[in-house]
Amino acid sequence: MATIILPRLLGQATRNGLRQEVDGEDLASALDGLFTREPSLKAHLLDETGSIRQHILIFVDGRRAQLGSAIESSSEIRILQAVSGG
Amino acid sequence: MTGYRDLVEAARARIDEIDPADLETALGSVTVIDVREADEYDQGAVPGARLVPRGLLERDVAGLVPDRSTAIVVYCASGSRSVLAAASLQEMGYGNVASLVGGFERWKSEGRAWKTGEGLTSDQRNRYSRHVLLPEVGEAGQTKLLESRVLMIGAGGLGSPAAIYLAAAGVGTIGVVDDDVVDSTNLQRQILHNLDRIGMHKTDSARETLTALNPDVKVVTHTERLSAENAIEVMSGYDVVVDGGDNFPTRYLVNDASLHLRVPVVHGAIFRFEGQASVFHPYEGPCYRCLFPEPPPPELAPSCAEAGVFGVLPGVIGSIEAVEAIKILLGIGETLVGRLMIYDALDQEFNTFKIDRDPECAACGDPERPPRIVQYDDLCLPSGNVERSTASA
Repeated sequence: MATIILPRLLGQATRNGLRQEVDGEDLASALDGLFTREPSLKAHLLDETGSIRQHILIFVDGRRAQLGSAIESSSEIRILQAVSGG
Repeated sequence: MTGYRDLVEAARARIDEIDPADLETALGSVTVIDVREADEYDQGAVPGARLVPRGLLERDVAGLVPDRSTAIVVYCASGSRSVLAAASLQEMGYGNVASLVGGFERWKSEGRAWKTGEGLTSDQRNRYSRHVLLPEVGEAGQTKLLESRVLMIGAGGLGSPAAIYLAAAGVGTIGVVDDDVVDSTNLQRQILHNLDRIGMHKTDSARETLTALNPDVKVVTHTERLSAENAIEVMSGYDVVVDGGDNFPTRYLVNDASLHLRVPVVHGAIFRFEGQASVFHPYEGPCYRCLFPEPPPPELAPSCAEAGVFGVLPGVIGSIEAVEAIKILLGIGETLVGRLMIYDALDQEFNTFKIDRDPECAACGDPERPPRIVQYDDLCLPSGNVERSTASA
């Protein structure tokens, strides 16, 4: 199973921690699996059209990914969010 | 009793010597060390020679020449002190050392090219000695830093460590933009300021701290909020901009103005225990909008004032920003252009991700048409494309 790693900023929107195992052949299906367990995350990561929000970055195995990007069972899916603190 | 002459002649018998003509041919392929005093060096030296006074040679040479197989030529005024220096280097394990016959006096009298000191005073040479010893910096690099101009966006958590390290490093002009005043909640992390400065403009407090640390530094204060009206004027004339802002509108403003001015921005941002850093070099790598075309909606982006921030975190990220700024100024190493570094203080973990320029980026996609500079008063940017200007501001 692939591993999704969430930023701490989204910790309050999750019930099962910042590292979660997911199944899926592509990023979209992996995120669907995540949202089944963590429904409140969906609004944080996807906009009303189902696209990745413009302030969210997702990397699969270190490479910038889109919803159609392929996922392998050993993949690491890293989610980052724009922050502005200084 | 053994005298100075005896010591010199005994040493001369053990070392190699090189004629000025041969050294002239070898310049560029050997490390040339001037073992005279700084005031002698300032009057004139062999091109490319590094100053390490005889009295400091044994202490400092390893920093300058770590590889003991490096070809080294040492010289002094007339070729005596350098003989002793060469013998000492040989004893330290440097196997390819020669002394210049006749020293700098003969070099100069034969009409060979020479240079005057590279602009550091004796005090500066001492203050920045640990920089000068680094081959990647040296006197030329230190002089370059002293002639450099860096603009700090914000004198807060990130701006504090970044500005302090840049001042200590001898960046000659540091501009500071901030319209805020010091309050007691800042002191948990904003190390430019102190209890006596509560109520003082952060720009003035920053100037006091930075000039007390290093009088070589000229601090230019911009006690105003960066805006669409003043961004181009404030950011003009700087070699690097260090973004330590604390809000999204300023970050987009800095990005858009940097594209007009083609000035690199060292980016840092923090939240609670996590930080991010990158370098946005206009049209050479991605810009901030390539990564984040739009900021989060307000309800998804609590500020540090609302959510808290680990006090040491800006020390880590701000120091990384200072490192990147100095690398850009000196043209050394691999900067974070095209890479996003993230840091998690609780896991004590760094990760770096490759980020690409977006050819369709609304801001930097067309170098001939940088974005129009507009003011965003809140976190919400208009949806859709960024407005483009018809010409650079």
